[in-house]
Amino acid sequence: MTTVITPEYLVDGTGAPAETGMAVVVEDGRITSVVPAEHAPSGPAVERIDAPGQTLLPGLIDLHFHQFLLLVERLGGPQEQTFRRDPLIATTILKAARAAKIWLQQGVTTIRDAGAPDNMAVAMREAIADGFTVGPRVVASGALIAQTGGMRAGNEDHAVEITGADEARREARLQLKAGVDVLKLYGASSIGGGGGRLVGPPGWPQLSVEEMRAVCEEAHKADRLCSAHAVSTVSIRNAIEAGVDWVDHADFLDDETIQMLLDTDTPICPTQAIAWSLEHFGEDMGFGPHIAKMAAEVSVVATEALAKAYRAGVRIAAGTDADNPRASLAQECRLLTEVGMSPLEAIRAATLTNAEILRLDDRIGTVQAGKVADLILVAGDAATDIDALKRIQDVFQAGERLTLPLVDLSAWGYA
Amino acid sequence: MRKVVVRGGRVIDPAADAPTARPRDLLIEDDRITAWLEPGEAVADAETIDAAGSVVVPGLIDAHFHPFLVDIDPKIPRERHTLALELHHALGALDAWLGSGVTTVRSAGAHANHDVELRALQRAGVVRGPRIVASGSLVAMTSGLRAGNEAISVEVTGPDDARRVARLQIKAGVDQVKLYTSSSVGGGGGRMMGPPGWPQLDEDEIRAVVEEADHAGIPTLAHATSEIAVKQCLRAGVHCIEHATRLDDEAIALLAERDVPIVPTLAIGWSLATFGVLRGFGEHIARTAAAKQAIGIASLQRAKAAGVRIAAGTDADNSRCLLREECRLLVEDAGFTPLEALRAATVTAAQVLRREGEIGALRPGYLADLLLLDADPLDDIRHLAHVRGVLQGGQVCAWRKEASVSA
Repeated sequence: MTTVITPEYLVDGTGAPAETGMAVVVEDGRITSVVPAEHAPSGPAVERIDAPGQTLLPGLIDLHFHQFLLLVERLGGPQEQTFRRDPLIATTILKAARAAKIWLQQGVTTIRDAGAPDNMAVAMREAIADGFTVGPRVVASGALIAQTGGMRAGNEDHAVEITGADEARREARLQLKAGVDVLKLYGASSIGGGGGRLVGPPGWPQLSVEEMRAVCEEAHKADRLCSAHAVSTVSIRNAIEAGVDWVDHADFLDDETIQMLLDTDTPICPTQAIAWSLEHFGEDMGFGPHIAKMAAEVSVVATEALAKAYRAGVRIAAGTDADNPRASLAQECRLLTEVGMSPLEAIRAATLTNAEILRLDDRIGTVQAGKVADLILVAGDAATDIDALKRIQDVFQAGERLTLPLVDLSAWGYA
Repeated sequence: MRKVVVRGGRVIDPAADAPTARPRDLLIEDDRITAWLEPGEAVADAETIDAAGSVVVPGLIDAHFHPFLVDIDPKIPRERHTLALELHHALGALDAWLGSGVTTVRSAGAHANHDVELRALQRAGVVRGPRIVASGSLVAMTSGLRAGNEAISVEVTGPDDARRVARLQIKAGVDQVKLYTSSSVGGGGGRMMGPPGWPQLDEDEIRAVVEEADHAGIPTLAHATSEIAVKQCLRAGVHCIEHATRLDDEAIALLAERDVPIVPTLAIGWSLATFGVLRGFGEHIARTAAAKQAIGIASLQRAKAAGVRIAAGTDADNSRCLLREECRLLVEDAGFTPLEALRAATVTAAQVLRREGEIGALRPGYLADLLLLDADPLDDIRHLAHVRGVLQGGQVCAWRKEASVSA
């Protein structure tokens, strides 16, 4: 079966300018060639998809998504961010499957699940790969490896708490055997400083360098990856020193920390979309006004830090950390343009850069011959209008065109 | 005192400088060789074992054997193995090895220290078979063994934990401590697949085990299939390297400099590549085995050229995978002379077991472990397959039934 897609604009994910008049040829789930439209194969055996006014891009990659945190209830009322795990495990899993579908219909064909209870992201990876449920390709983190007392009260089920390098190493080894792709360290408190009775400065450093290094070493021995949630400058520097493959969040960055990122060629994955959604829609979602206020304050600092890192040449990835559909990867790309990236650079972050970080760039991340045909069509010219990413027209997974929507979100009040 | 003379044979002592099959009789008193005799020299009150027409070599030593892993149907899931099933197969395997001329095995690991138990039963005279030199459970890193195979190991994290387990193993009576320092050559199994032979235990964990073994005066051996793992082991002081599938120049130089022997275990790779599919493994296992075998042989040849000592071991999981096949592969695939292969299975293997002076040669003072062959294995290593009789500790424990010739 041969499919030929002829979009108005082609943005290939490498950062190269958009091209017009091109055709992308897909056979057996792979892109076999990208040629001027007049040279594309034709005939009765060829399915042709014309997309006037649309941009064809690589399927997006969200480097920081939690299938088990999207659209789940919170405990403790508007003052708390504690997530509620449904007492029925099946409900928890079905909600995760829904989250996977929602992200896929938003054009995200690969996610890195940044941490889930009981290594359940591994189960999602296998269930999706085996076709039991529809969703993006999953690169799985396990339970977060956190310090004793590191997770806020009520959220501990997303973490395994350890003390000491040997305990950290042991947990790393167990997770690798359980099939985790990216070991995830919880190297700092949340941006709010914690929760419950333990609230410190924003993103105060947690886990020691030695504890984190033991985990990084185990990941790298087995040819796997390791990332760290790190927020304050000290926590970011600790994570880099320990040898992480990238830093999640990295909200606070001073010159010394930026230099360290550059010296070690360590990318950051800023996740601004979540704070943006809390700032603008927090109260709609049931948070108290202080949460929106905090999100707004954080946004100012983090945006400034990110702009500085971008100008200095730090590699920047795209991730959402979303707990609601508004904190989409398209919105994250939009926010990346607000710190100075061009739309093409923001798209590269959400495609090729993320693929490189996950070491999947031989298979995904660009529209080039030989790659898996994970593709999206959006309305408009994404190279000049980044919000085109919010106007998904079609999603192709390994050449298969999905019937959209997979989940009708209007019932939850989302467009 | 029981006296026995092995008469009329031609004797090869592989520990000699330039051994050949020389006419010589051997005097055995109780379980030891006590004298070399001129052919026909009389000894009062001695029984005779007729070795006329035979070539006599030392009993062979399999330096890498798992008594509880031989001939168990791979289709039976590990959790359904009963101790009775495993014991049945272990006794069968030990019998087969003894009958093929192997009088000593180094057990390279058995779950729950069952090889230590078997050794005790042998010493009590309840169970026969090659003399077991036991490792007990492997010391592995947490998650080191593939899913389903964990029972053969004790998993540790951190040097203190490793040291504690080493001490417990020593107390349980192991003759050496076995470390599992890298993944299998296939990279693992189940949900944990890494690069082939990726390093597992860390150097400080390995060192803690070696220190404890040294304190107790027993050696360590390490499963190590990649150059990184091998080098870690050598820096940590491990006494013998098993498999050594992939070696770089630095690893070979370190092996030579520290005079640490390797046990390449070609027989299991050959067996998997040749009979793997027949035995119920997937085709990919057979293919992988063949590819790894070529890598292992290349490493072995370079190590040998650098002067690294090499001992023969099978790592057998089935009873076709005999030590004589290992010797044959050393000659036919790796370019050893028959004498070098025979020494690997006798002199060097005895050194690896720290039993030199006891086994691996045919000299006064050594245990009377010997093998009567129909023809000279120094002419053709395949003659190791033509076994007329086996003595272990002076006792005849296998003797071929000759076809009766009617007048």
